[in-house]
Amino acid sequence: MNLTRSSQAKGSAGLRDLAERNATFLGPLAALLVLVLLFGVMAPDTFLSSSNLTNVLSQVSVLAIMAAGMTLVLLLGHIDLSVAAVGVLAGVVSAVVYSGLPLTLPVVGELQADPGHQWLGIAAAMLISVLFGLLSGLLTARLGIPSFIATLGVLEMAQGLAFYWSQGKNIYDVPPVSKTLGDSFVGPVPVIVIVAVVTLALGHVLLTWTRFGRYVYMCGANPRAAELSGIPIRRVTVTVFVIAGGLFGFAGVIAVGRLGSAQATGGGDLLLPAIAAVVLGGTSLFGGIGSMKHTAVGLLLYGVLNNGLDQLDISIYLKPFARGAFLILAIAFNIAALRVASRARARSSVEDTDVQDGAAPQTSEPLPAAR
Amino acid sequence: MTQTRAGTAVDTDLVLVARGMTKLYGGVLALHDVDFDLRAGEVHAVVGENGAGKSTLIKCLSGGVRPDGGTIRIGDEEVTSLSPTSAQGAGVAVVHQELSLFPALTVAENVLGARGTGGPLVNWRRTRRTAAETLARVGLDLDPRARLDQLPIGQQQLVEIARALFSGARVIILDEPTSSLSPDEVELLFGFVHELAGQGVAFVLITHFLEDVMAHADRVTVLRNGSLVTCVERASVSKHDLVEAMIGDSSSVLQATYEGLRVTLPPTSEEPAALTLRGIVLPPAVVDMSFEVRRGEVVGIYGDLAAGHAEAAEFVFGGRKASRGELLIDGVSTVLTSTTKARAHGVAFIPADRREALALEQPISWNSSLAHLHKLTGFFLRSRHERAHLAKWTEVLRIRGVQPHKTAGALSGGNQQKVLFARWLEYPPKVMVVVEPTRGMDVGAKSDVVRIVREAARQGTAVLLVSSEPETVLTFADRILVAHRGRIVREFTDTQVSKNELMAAGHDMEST
Repeated sequence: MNLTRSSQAKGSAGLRDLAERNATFLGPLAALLVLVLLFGVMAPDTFLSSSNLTNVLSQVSVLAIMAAGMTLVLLLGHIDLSVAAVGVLAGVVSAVVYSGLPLTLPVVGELQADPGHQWLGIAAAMLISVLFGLLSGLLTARLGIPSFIATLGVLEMAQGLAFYWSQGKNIYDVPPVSKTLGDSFVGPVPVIVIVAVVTLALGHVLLTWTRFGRYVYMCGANPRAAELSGIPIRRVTVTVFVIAGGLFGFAGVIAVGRLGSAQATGGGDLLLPAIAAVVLGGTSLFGGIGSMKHTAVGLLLYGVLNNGLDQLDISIYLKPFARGAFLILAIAFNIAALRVASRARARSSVEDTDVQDGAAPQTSEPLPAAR
Repeated sequence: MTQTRAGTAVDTDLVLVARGMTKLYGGVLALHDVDFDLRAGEVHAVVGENGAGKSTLIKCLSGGVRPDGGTIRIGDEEVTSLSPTSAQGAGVAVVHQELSLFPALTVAENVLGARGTGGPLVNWRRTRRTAAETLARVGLDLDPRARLDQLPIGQQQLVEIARALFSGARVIILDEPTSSLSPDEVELLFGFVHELAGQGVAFVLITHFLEDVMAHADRVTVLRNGSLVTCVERASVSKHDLVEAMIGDSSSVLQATYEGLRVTLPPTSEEPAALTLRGIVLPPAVVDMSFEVRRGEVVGIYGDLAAGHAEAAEFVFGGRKASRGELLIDGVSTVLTSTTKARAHGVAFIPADRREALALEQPISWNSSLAHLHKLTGFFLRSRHERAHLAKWTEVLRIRGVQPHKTAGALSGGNQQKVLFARWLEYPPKVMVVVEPTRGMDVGAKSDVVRIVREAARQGTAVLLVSSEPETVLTFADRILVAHRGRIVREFTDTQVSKNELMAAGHDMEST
């Protein structure tokens, strides 16, 4: 087997091979380019202006941090429906503690800090989101409850606590750090965009450069294979849900700064986008296939679509319909790309000549003696 | 032995007659000019070793594969091949080892199957009544309203037979029906089978259990290497005759190779035991098993599918909980609650189904490094180490077809198996459990795997090999244990043993 020759000599065929193997990534990327061109032609002055493009980025930044967590969960073959609810709860907790309002807890009673402790507020927010992530993880990994149902329960719990602790009111006293992260600029660049990019980059490092990331891929691709290799699947699963919970909470804390207020009703409209953005990027709902790169493209797709529709002269009431229709189109495109990729893989198997499992009947001829 | 070569006499009772059944798989004759017939109301057993052609024959008869030659007559109609639908239409049904029922539905729904009571709506009362009638007709006392998965497996099997009858079957092929049944359930099953046979239903019984054949069959067809050896009245033969017919006449020149597979086992090793099982009970498969594997030794456990040795193997890798008994590793009593724990104690595992252990869509190197990644790299991956690891084992194990970017699914079976060995051998395990390591492989890949396992043992690993193929056990093992119905019934060490003797022991009868 001469590896260098096979990769050099092929030339354009090799390039095509490379493209086909990476079809799950190139597909969404092509869709993104098509969409940018489309809106660029239809609304050249507004859509392509630099302020609007910056806008696209900052519009998807909170979503990006949530989607980073969701990517980990989907790669493992699970789903976390509590994403937006946990984010909202974290935002509410940070604002409640910062403003010196009481947090009523069972058994412990009322916790109340003096107003003005922003780090305490953020620490409390992160703690509670990580705890909810831990709960989702334990329910899924230890009790074997399907993550769809387990996190649906967690969604309700987090949502309920957010209403309870905010007493259903808007809290306008939000931690200054949240405001800095969510609503300020470094030169022309919104800080929130930098935070989102750094989060996705760290997620990428975790997934591709660490052993833990490898375990996530392998457990998602075939849990039984991971188990048969002695991989602690349940610990990997719990860890993923905890990291995801922390990211959801972090996104929520920043969202509060961006909006300038915390309220329990804020997050419902982020649940589906957080999942849609990841899936739009080509990450499989069934685990093992996808990456943070995919999610970055998916986020841009979602952002461009949302923003571009704003620039067009169509009824605001028609917008959700158009968005839904495009989502379906994009997913259909991804599925076609996945087929191309697996066909490319199947082709490489033709080179093998020895007996494939099940292709021939078992022969009962004696084995060559080994000793 | 009185031979009634099938179909020599005109027999009006024949419900099915197959003549000259021939099937080729990629140039290999899986079935060669086999005649088979079936009388109304008889239980006709088909026996033979793995690869003898039993399953190919039933697939031809039930429409699973298209024969390359021969004719099949069912009733008055003669055809050259059947489709699954036409087989069913002609009244042939197969009850497989893995039942094809709906566990979450009621007995009634399962009995009536897709046909229901006809019409677009489910008429519940009629469904129950029809099912109750069918069950009563075949003498089964079951509540049609019970959920199927609440019944023991033996009764589920009877429900499947009842369903076959309801759909009009007159010929029922039972494929290894007793391998997952308790002795009581086996009695229940055959009681039921004889009752139906009395009503004229014909049964084909495919089984590894010669005692079931001796107790319950009317006639026996023996296949070997795809050819018909004989078809005899059961009353005229002994179990010994059957084993001899399955393995072949030892005086024949052809069979000399088989008898040549008579190996001399060395005396039991003096090394300390790396793995010890004491009185392990894993209900329902393992009744009571005790054995040990010493350092550097390959111990092969031979037994049929219901012997319990496969379950014992899973247990050693932390995949099952024992209800009683003790496991010792290097003489220290250990409880393995997970595969992770087993790995930490130096136990490696290579399952029978390679595809189960591989992430087929992921790169080969990710698969080959999975079990030792925690030793090979730190928190951060070191892809250079991984590449070096794969390159080394590609060379040592002669893995063919390895390319960067290539997924594990693109490798052939033998090479996939080698990837699994690479996964564990980078850091030699104390105990390596291998299940059916050479199933479905060509000769070249087989001898490579034998070499790999022997070499691992030479390096000091205690190897526990589990198989239901006598050749496999004979080729690999230093010491051979025979498992039967959940117990170790025989040990071969420091002696000569032939395949013949091993199979006889596996059927729990006196060696020939």
